[in-house]
Amino acid sequence: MRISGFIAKAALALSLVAGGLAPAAAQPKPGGTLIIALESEPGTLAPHTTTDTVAYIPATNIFNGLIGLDFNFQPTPDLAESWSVSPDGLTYTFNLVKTAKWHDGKPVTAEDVEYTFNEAVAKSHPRAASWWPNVASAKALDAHTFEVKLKSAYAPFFTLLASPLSSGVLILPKHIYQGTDPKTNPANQKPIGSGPFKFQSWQRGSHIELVRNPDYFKAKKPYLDRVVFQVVPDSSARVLAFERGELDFLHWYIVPYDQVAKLRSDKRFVVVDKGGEAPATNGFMLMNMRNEYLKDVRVRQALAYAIDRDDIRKKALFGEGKVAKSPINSGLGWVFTDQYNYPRDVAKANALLDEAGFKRGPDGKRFSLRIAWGAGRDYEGRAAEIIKDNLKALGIDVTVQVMDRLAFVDKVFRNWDFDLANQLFTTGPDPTFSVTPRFHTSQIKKAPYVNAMGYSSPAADALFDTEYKELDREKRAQMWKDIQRILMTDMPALPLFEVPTVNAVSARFKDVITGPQGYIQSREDAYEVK
Amino acid sequence: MSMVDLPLAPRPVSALRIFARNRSAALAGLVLAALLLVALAAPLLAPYAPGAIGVGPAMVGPDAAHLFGTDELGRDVLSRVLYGLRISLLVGFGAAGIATALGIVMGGIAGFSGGLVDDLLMRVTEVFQVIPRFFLAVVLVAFFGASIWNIIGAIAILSWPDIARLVRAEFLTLRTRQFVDAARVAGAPAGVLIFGEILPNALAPVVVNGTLMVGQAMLLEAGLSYLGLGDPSQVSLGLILQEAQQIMRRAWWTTAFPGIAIFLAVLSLNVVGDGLNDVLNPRSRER
Amino acid sequence: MRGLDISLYVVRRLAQAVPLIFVVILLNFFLIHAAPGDPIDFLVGSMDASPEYIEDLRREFGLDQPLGTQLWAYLTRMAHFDLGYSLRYRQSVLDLILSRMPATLLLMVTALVASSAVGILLGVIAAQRPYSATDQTSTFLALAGYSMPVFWLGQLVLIVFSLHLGWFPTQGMYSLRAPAEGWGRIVDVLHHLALPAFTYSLYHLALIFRLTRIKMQETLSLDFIVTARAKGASEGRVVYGHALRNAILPVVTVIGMNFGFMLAGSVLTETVFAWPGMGRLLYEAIQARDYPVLMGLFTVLSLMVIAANVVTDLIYAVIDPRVVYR
Repeated sequence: MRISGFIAKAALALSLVAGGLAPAAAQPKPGGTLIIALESEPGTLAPHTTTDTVAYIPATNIFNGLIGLDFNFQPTPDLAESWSVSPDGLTYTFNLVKTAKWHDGKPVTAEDVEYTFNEAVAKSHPRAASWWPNVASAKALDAHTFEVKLKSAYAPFFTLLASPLSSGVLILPKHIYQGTDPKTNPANQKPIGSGPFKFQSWQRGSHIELVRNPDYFKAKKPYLDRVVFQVVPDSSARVLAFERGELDFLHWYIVPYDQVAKLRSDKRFVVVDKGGEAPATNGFMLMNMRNEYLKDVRVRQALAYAIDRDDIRKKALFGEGKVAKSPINSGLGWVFTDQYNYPRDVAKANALLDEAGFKRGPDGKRFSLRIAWGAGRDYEGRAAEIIKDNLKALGIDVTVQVMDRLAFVDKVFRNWDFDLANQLFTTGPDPTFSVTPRFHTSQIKKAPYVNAMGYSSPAADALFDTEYKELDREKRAQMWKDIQRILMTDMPALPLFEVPTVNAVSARFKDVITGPQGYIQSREDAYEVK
Repeated sequence: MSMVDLPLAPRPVSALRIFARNRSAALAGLVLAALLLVALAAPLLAPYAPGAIGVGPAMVGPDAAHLFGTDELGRDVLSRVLYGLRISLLVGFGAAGIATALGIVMGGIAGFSGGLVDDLLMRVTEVFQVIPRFFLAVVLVAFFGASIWNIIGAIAILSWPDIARLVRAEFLTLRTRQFVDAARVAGAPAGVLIFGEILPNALAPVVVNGTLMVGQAMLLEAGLSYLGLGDPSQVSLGLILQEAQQIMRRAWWTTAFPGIAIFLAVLSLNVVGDGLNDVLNPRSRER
Repeated sequence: MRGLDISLYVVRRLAQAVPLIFVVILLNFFLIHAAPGDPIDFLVGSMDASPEYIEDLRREFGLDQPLGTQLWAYLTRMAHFDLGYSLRYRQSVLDLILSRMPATLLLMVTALVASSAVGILLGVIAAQRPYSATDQTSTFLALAGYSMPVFWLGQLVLIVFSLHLGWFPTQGMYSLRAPAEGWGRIVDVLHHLALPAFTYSLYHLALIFRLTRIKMQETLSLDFIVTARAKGASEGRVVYGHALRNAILPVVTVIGMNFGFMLAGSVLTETVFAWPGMGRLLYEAIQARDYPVLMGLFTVLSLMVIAANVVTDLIYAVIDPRVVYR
């Protein structure tokens, strides 16, 4: 009796610790309003036309995907309740739930899915060109069966379909969009979806309000009456509002890292260290290989040895997150390896620079570089200051340049007018669609968020071009480890830190985060503790 | 009010009160002079380089080693404030100086000449005036790059129409006044009329606005910094405040000292402006 | 005769406004397009995109056309009072601006009225007893708000009145957890308005106060005031009836000029307090290089400033008969 009481208490404590994460034993009760902070206003609520993260935060509550992802990156049911793959990995068949309805009452059918793939995603999503050409056909077999045939095997296909940010796959109602341009359909501002919440109102510049969909096809869900997305652009005002209970949820990349320790110790809040596994984002210092100094691999390696990344983690990120030891985030456990990391070694850095022929002048200086960063993420600026300080000791004079985000993109990615640049890159949910585009030779083009460094390695390209066809996960992982070895040796971009996965949630809510895309997932499982 | 009181109006101002008044302006002048001196001597006074990281432990409050404490990167806040003051004052005086000179010339010509010239110059000031000023600063700085000289130039371009319009408004009323007519009848040339007769009488609000503008330019630069458009290689007080806003509630000294510094500088500038006004304004001097 | 002068003047000013707006549009058009940064990069989002996709978007928005063609297309639309479509929101620019205008006007008019009323009153009181303790105290108080960065002031105000005292909400315009209806909604908005309006008016108080005080001091020493006093007019009538009426001219100029600056200058206050107004729309449009929204905002703001200037000039006429309209 005594023991079981202890166990019950321990279980209770555990569920408290898990907070908004694990489905708790308690029975969820209906009711309540969850207020989610947005850092800027989305441009659209039907974001099959963009990879603008903030647009997916409300959209994933209004629309359903075909499938979802669990924490092991395995597919989970959404509109598709089951699926099968042919042994050659070319034919994917999805069986849709039969009870799903659009918010206007019409049934959801495979026709809608077919329309979404062929007309919206293929024609409007920015990343479609990277995978759609490999699709032989996408069609409805009957009212509730949908089939995709690929031209060649594509290992990360499930992950792709389950990641709306990477693929744009959120199923749209054909009867609303048919015959219109999906980019400009007025329904993008007043969407009709099949998801757990229905669109209610959009007060421009202020908030977006969604209300419970009573006819949702998943039994009993959702539990919340309303989900409100409020735009709060100022980071300190955001934390103030969160602490005062005006906001309930700050997702992982808008939580101010210096406040995390304080929030952890406050019973009114729960800090959830999960839900960032899919974006798996690393901070990089890109190196322009066209620069007369940086084109020498020894110089790039010297920089990697000289920069105190643990200091960046401690000071720029206030001790949250991890030092990035690979161009792939450690959240992608099945491919990540840290065996090619550079330990800090200033003596070796100096020796490498001497060896490269850039000896110190009489004033102790070797040469000068610029480091650019885009305004908005203060920790990237602090990292730049630390890098400047570290390289000064090496005899390299660094000028820090800051500009607004689009001017930064223009300078770094369109004009290649930079020496060093701090930039975040996602490395998940699968490295095929987030690592390959940054380092492949074919991605040396004047466009945003691709290979601005001008890095080209035939060995790496050969692996990039074949790894996604390998259906054996072990073998594929090994290929990615080889890629990590090459990238860390050639060092076109130094991984600085892993952006910490810390979601701050009000303790009054549970199950707010249930998957690896915690910031852009549906809140159908979330409920308020009464 | 009885007839006996007549000779006493306007209200007499006692010497003591003038003195008290001068003392507050003088005090502000002293504070300003001290701040200017400190800013000029920053390289001699600052214990550390402003950008030097890890000269102390991170986020430690004021103590003997670091009088103003350290920030999240272990930089010495005192050193940063000293250098930041230097940059902020440079921006303030640089931008206000350029803007005032431009404004007086444009406003004076427009107000005195009237007619087509007035129309033309006023349309030019209006073009500058109707474009949202803060926005224009943001675009100019984004376009030309966030260097300190570009920021000064952008603020000056934005600020001169204020002065120009004020000067013109004064000229419009003053040029029909008797003393100007008298000088005109006496055959004074336009230059003498503008700079000798009208301008001194129109100067009071220009001085008031000009001094306010120094402070205003410092604050505008701070606003640009808040939006992430400060010059990171020339750290101003505004940029320090922007960087500190994230940690201000954990480490008050990172925001309090630079905040107080910019507050003192702008406040003393404003009070000194008052004092200057008393000296320069002929109508107050007569009293 | 004067009435005719004034209506002629207004007609002339409005006629002058047309080329003015045209110049503003031209200037802004070239300035915006000269600024680095591509709106397409914002639309694409945070991941990679194929160059073909980017070119398609560029074509769709007509951004692939030569600048001259784009300008001509824009001016043609403007001639039909069409401000075009937002690149970012794919929505009518006019609708976007109108949806943001009430919030800004509410904040601005509240702040302008409060700062003008308090500023003039304090200025008059201070001028009556120059160099007294009252004068010096009110000078210091008025200047204090003007002597710090408005975002810093806003953050301090938030910490004191919201975090520590808990009197006011920290951000936004509405309580979202339990939306109020009817009168409750108005009270709710006013509750949210208090801190941003306070911060914003504190900032503008000083300008009006100082000018009023200086002008009043000057005026109170003029002959006609002496005469008025000699005729036995009450002190209140002398100060508020004669002197203030005379001293207020430049104050009106400054208030009129402030109108335009406050519109654009509300960016910082609106950002600190997450107030959903035009200032933030402007800043967000800059960040996204949303050209049509920027151009539309310019035009609307320019019209508002011009209107404010004309009104200011007309108020001159009412207060100061010496001004001649030509």
